[in-house]
Amino acid sequence: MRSTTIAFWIVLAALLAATPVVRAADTEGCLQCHQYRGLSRVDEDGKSIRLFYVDPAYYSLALGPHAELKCTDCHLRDEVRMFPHQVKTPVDCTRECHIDRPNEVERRFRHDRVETLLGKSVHNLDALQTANKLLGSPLRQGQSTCLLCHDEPAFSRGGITAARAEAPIGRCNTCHDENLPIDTRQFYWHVMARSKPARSSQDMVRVCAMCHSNPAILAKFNLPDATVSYLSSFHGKSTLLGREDAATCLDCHVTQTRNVHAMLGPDSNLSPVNLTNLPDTCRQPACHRAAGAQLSSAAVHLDLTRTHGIEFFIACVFIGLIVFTFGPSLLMTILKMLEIVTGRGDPEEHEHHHLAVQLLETPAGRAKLERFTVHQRLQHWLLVICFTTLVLTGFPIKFAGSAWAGWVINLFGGLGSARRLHHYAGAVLILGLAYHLIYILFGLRRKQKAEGKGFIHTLLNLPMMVTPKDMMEMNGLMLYLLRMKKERPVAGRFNPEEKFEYIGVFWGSIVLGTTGTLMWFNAWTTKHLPGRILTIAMLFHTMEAFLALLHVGVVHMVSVIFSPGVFPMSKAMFTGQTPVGELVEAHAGMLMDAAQATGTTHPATEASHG
Amino acid sequence: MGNKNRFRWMVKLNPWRFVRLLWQRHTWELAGKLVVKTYALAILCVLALCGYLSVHYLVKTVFYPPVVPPQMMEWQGTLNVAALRQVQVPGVEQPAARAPISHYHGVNSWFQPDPHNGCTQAGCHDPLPHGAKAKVPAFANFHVTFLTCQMCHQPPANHPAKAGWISTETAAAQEVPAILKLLAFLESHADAIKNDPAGTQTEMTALLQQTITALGGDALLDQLLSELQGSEPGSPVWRRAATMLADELPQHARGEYRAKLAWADQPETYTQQFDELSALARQDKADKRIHAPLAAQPAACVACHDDKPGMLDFAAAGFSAKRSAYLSSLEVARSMQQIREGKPFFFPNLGEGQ
Repeated sequence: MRSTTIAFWIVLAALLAATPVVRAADTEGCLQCHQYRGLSRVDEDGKSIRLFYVDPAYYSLALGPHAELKCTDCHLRDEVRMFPHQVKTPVDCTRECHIDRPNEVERRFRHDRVETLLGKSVHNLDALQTANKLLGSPLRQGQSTCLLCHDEPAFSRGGITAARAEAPIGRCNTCHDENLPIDTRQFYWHVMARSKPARSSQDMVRVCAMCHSNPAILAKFNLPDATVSYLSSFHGKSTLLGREDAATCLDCHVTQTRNVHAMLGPDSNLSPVNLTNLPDTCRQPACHRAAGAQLSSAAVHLDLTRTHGIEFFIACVFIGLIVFTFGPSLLMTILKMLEIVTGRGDPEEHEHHHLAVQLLETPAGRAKLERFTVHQRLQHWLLVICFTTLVLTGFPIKFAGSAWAGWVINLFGGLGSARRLHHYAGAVLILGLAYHLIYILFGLRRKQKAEGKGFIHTLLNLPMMVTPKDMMEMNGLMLYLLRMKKERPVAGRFNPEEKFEYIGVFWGSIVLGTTGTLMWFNAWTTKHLPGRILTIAMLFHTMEAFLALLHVGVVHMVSVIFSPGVFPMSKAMFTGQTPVGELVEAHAGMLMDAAQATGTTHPATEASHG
Repeated sequence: MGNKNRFRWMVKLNPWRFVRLLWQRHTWELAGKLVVKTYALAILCVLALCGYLSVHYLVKTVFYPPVVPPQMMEWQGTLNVAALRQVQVPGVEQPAARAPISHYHGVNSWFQPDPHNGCTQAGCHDPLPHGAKAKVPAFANFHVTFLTCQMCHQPPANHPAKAGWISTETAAAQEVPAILKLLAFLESHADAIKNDPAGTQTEMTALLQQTITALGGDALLDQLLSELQGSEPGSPVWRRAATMLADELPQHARGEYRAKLAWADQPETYTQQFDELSALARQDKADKRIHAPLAAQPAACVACHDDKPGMLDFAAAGFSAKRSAYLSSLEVARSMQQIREGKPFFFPNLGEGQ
């Protein structure tokens, strides 16, 4: 044994000497073998892999607080100095270790305080061991339960590259030389890690999700799925979209100045999520500092399937609204497509087509067939820009868990800028709506003067006003499309579908604008209204936005872009002139009015006279 | 006459006549109508699908328990053998956000899979093929990162034998990996780097770029590359980066070359081997045909790691003079052999900061 001992002492010396840069932290020479990633084997169970690789950069570049430790601080010296290693004792995280810094006296350290805190918390040893068992025992016999949440601790870089950190470290070294010794590089990154968590917000939530979304664990401890309800909140969606300063589980469930290992259940008076403490938790300086105490009653863990309160009722009402408004519109659009597929046509279609061509050949006819003025077209395009921006910046938040959502949000430079853009687009939409109302009032007044009629009469006769006649026309159109009626109803400048869409824009803008404003200025809202209003506003906002997207994105897009009569796009919003196919199909009444006004003879009349 | 009448229907069905008939009946108009109808049918289907998906989504949102997005539940309890065959598993080829739960030390892309290794990909052997039977399976497995199986299991009769590199990405023969070339370059051109920095700049940075690509990115080497490219050759910044590169690079040459050594007289492409092995494995004829050329016992560690000329000529395989000397040194050979034989030994001062 003596000869082999001497031989291997020589081996170690040779190994160290052969490597140009001797790693300061690897004074024991362990990395000579453990630096190889492939140093691994299949475990005795034949399924799992034992990995013996240790990243040398962790120690050489001091990537984490444990880089100051020797391997034998954690692994028992007597067991690992034997080759092949004869490890029998698992690593005990509460063992005393020795922090060995250059030019400093070795310090002794141990995590026993963490053990004490953990013992009094909801995550005590019993709970963690039960969780490990219910997770399928990922930890081997005797392995520390710390591993359920932690792996090798790393310093956060806080967006600072190692190269950029050299300048401040160099400045620190001006004084912290041998006169005032301290390992400035280690100190710099250590402080940085305390200012900003090393793990991303997603990683932190993943750690909690491992247990708090595990059905067996939830059943055992009688807990709701906290991860899924968190991820449906704005905090969770921000996390899903990669925002690093999003509030994670730890931000609410641990008081900022306390150790995260001392997490208590909501029943404890000391818990930050206890109902009495919650208002102050929400209003932490780094979070909703200016909010009212009522903010705490807004739902952070909303699960509609579990809470059958007013929120569930609102969601059900909106489903009904979507089915009863979008449903008929979609059905009519589908039936119109079916008309084309089956080749069914209106008997008067040919005559109307002929009339439209005739009218469009003359300047007077064209003027009569102009459906949108320049002013109206500009207002429409403003609406298009606002709506598109709102959809692109809002729906990725609604569907934050989808892969495409992060991609779209990143196009806007991240969630922060996407949200700002969403707010501004919303504000412009509201201002646009106000402008349109003023525009209508001016038009109304002009018309009132010209016709000499009363205000109410003029208002009810506005071209976009929905009248009982429109309801009859709509009913007639549906019966025609369902083949229960032979003749297609004849609509004028604006058909009933367009009028309903127009009313929908009013309704949608008001609902989305009001709820959006309540959420945007949540500090004001929670000072004057119950916090639950924010949850309700969020539901209204998201459901109404979905309804608007369905109407505009499906029905409206088909009628102005994809329908065979207008494809590749109706020019109505560019030139004011509607394509002949659309005029014939949806505005035959306007054709006849224009013919009458310009003295153009209707082909049918012409034929009967001829 | 009777025959003529019998075939009159065929004359009527004359294709040319049929085409002419269609032409006369406004063929293009008909085709246009057909296109429009098909398009309308497609729109109809899309609309129906949109309607269904919308209602389905709403009902699911309100009445069914939501589920956590899969990306939030991707921790692995233990890293399992099956995962090694899947390139997309975090921690295999893609960086993992954290190590498997049962593992403490951080792992980032720890395993460079070899999709062309017939022995493991045919399903017969695990990607970490050395198990309980091997004396030192972990040591043998880390050699799998940069050696083909035949290097130890089918040793050549005559020593030293020629060996070449095979890309694990394309399975084709390739040059010496860039990192080994760069190590050799830094060693052999140490004086030139001092005296003629501009003359060495192009080759050094090109090799460093290739090295970083093969490693799949490396923060420190990236930094050194940008310093070498962004400074004047010979300037203090450049010299500092060049010196640091020479010091640091050996720590990055850990067998992860995206290439493996293979005996030069064996089939040049891995793909061919893979196809053959897979076919044989499927026919259940694998055992005899495949294993016949293999040695009863794999080559001993000292067959290569020996101070005497061994089975492999490291220098010819592209290793630098220093590294070749280190790999074939007596100390390494003896330690390897001792480890292989499973004889316990120990470092007397381990843990005492020596």
